[in-house]
Amino acid sequence: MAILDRMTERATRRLAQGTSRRSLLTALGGILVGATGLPLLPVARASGGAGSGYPGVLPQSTGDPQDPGDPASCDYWRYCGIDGFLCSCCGGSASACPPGTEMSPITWIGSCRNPADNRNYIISYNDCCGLTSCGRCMCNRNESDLPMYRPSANNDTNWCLNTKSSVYTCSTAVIIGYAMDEEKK
Amino acid sequence: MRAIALILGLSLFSGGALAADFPEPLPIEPTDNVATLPASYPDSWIYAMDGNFYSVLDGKVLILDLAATSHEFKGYIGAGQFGSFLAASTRPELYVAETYYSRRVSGERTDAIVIYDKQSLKKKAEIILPGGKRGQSVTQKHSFQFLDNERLALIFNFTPAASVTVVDLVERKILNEIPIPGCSLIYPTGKLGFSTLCGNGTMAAFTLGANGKVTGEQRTKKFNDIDNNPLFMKTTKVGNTTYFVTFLGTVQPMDMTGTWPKVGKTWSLVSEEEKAAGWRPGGWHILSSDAQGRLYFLMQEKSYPGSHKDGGGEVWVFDAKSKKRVARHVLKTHAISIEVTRGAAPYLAAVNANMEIDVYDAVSGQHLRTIGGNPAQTIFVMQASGG
Repeated sequence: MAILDRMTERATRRLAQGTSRRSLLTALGGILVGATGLPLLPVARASGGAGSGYPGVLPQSTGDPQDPGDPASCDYWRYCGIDGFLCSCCGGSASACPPGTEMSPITWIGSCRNPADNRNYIISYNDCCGLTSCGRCMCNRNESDLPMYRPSANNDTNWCLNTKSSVYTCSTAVIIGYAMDEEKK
Repeated sequence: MRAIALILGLSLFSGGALAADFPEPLPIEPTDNVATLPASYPDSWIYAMDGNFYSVLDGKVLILDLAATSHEFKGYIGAGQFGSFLAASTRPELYVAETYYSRRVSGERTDAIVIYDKQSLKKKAEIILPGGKRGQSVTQKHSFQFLDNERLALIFNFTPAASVTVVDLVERKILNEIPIPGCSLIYPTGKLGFSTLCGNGTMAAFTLGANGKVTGEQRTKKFNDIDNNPLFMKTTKVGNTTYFVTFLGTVQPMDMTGTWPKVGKTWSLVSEEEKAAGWRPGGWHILSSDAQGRLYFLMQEKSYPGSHKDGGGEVWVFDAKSKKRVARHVLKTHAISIEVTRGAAPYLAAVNANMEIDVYDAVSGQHLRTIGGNPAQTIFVMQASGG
């Protein structure tokens, strides 16, 4: 499977090379590492158009115009600090773990701006645990990520803590609040 | 099957025609034949830690020779579930701190330090780590460190309560667990002590007795400007100086050789002009050094908030003493982690975008070869055998 992943990754990288220097940089930037860190499928971030950005992953929609974008795409607004496989691509959703796993009760918290209502939402990146790595839709974005000495802002950590199994499966991005100050502005 | 039979038939037939050229057949070879390695590895060898994010249960540590033009792949050992790794230089042993479940992804959790013989790469012993608390993260060199001339090992725990377990590697027993609330990872300090980076911008330091018990504790002043220009947690050492670097390219030297860590005077990798062009260090393991006193940094252009792990296209080389840039290597392929060997003719290894290892002459920057062939899924950290 990984061979296939890498082949598609190379293909997407070639595609990116054909476009512009900026998109090439974005594409290569996608190699990131993450906590879980991996070479991420590059076009995912560069895309933003139709399709999930991951070859072989069908597009999704929340159906709610206030929650825009594709939860099976790395550039979905809630994923601004995510690091891992998108649970949306693994049988779960942006806010639900796949069947057979357990959601980690503790994790790191970031904030992402929702382009539809322009609010800054507090996002909890709960990991799902107990099955082997999902492997689909690797996505690593590091807005507001800080090193491990600030664990509550760190996505390099395996957050499968206080779960029956610490085996990492995939990552969610759950809305747990929004910035009140932003609301007043 | 028929095709195979045909090929066998053809080779037997043509073999007869060539027998005159080779009067003696090839010698009979023994089975039960397993390769071994030398007890001490040349300084051109590196350990490449594959976290294998696509199946974290099954990570490994590859042993590679960067100088080789053949037989570059020497062997590997397992390192499961965000494993950490140490190689001893005072005895022929390798150590992996790892985690397993009795039923692969479920059942009883076992955390252990597994001890491998450096020549056979066979498991020779293990030390069970109590409490199921070994910290698991993307590979960090400073989650597992030697102390007291490799007699002790320190292991970082995270539950999310942070602590350090002190292990006697010679007696193979657990000595102590030291809470380090609000702090992370392990930086050996002095003869028998360690420091740790804290979320308030300080470094906390502990001195230990031979039994692993804490005998003293101090904190540095606040020197890590976490909210504006945080330190990466990676280091490299030249002489008595341990080097950190910040997200924006400020070098933070530290003297960790005395009883307590001393915060050195900072300097910048980037000029104002380069800063304006967005140059800064970026990637996972972003710095290294050689035995000649040069520092190497993986650099990215056009950075933006959140690009600190995106890797980079150049390696900038600085003379540690003069703080002057002495070379700027443009990489063949964008890289996420680097390591430099410690020999007289150092090699620069760079994990590239395809998760292969590009090998460069560290001094000239010339690309020599690429070690690939799908040996690993996600290499994050490399460790030079001599460093």
